[in-house]
Amino acid sequence: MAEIDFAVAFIVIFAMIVYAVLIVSSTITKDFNYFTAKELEISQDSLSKQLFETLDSKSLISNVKKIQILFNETGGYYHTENLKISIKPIMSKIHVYNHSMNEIPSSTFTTGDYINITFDLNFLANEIKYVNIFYFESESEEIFYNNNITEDNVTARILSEEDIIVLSQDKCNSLKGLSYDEAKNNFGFIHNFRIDNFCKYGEEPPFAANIIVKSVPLLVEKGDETVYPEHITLKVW
Amino acid sequence: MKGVHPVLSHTTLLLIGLIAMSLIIVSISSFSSKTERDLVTSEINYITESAKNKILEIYSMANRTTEYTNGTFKLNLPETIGDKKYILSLNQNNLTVFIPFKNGNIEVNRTLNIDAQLNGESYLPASIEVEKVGGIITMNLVG
Repeated sequence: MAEIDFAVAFIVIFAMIVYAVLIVSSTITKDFNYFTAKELEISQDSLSKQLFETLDSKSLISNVKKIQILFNETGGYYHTENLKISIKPIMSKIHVYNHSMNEIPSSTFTTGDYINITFDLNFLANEIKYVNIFYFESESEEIFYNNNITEDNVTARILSEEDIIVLSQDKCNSLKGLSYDEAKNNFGFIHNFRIDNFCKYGEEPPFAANIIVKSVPLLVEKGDETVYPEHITLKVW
Repeated sequence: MKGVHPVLSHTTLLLIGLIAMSLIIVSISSFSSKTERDLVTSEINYITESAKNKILEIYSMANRTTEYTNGTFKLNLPETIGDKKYILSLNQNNLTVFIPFKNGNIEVNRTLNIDAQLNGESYLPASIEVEKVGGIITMNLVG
């Protein structure tokens, strides 16, 4: 009888110890996984800041200037107008976009210290349209809308110049020139990363891994100095 | 255990029990010590990345502002890990978090590689004083 008591007591105590160990290790694993995932997440945020928010030599972004112009049809009828905007000083890289960031065909010519941009816009009766003009070289000194005889019943309101961040093709090419390890050292990054959609860089993540994915909306500058909106994907694991 | 003196059999059982208990205690103690260290290291990694993130945020802001910038930013990080205070230090382009720990201190380093001068060492709570003069960004960690 004493042997049976001992065996039962031993099994009960052993089971309690195993249960306690399982509970403790499960709690520790949860905490460990929590900090590992949080660290990966914040590490991705740091890399995203370095790549897409910082204007230094290592990042992928550069600065362009943008002005927005609101055109208002005041005649009360449908018509197409050839509009002219003049900017000082003369710049060679100027592009005009509609509100959806689709490029509007435009032509330029210079008069004195000014560059004149002309483009066609259709207006419905009393319609308000806005266009964005992007230029890459320098700040403007003077901007004005030419209300000449060919522009009928369209008024313009020019908003102040803004600095806009765009993803630069040149900087992307520089990153692609670096080996993966060099790039990681450049950013002091200890995990692995991959950039997608524009400026594809880095290896595909493995099938089984904790992968943090972030989508960054940005304007992207193509090689011909035109810009278009894009969602850049940054994967970190 | 027939034929064995009861005192001897009880003593043997007691000894086996004691040895088993001591083995379990030593294993659990070793396991808990190792996991505690891993957990603290993991938490320090997280804190170091959080500090790096904050420094990059301030740098990014200073980088995009005009020639003269001046400000102080509080680091919103926990003051202790468990019940222990830890030291944050900035030196050139390195960020280090250090915590005294049994069986050897724990230290985690991160490289920042930014165009800024970084200095200072402090326990938490701490702030970062940033200054941009003539295009040069200086960041000092102060307690």
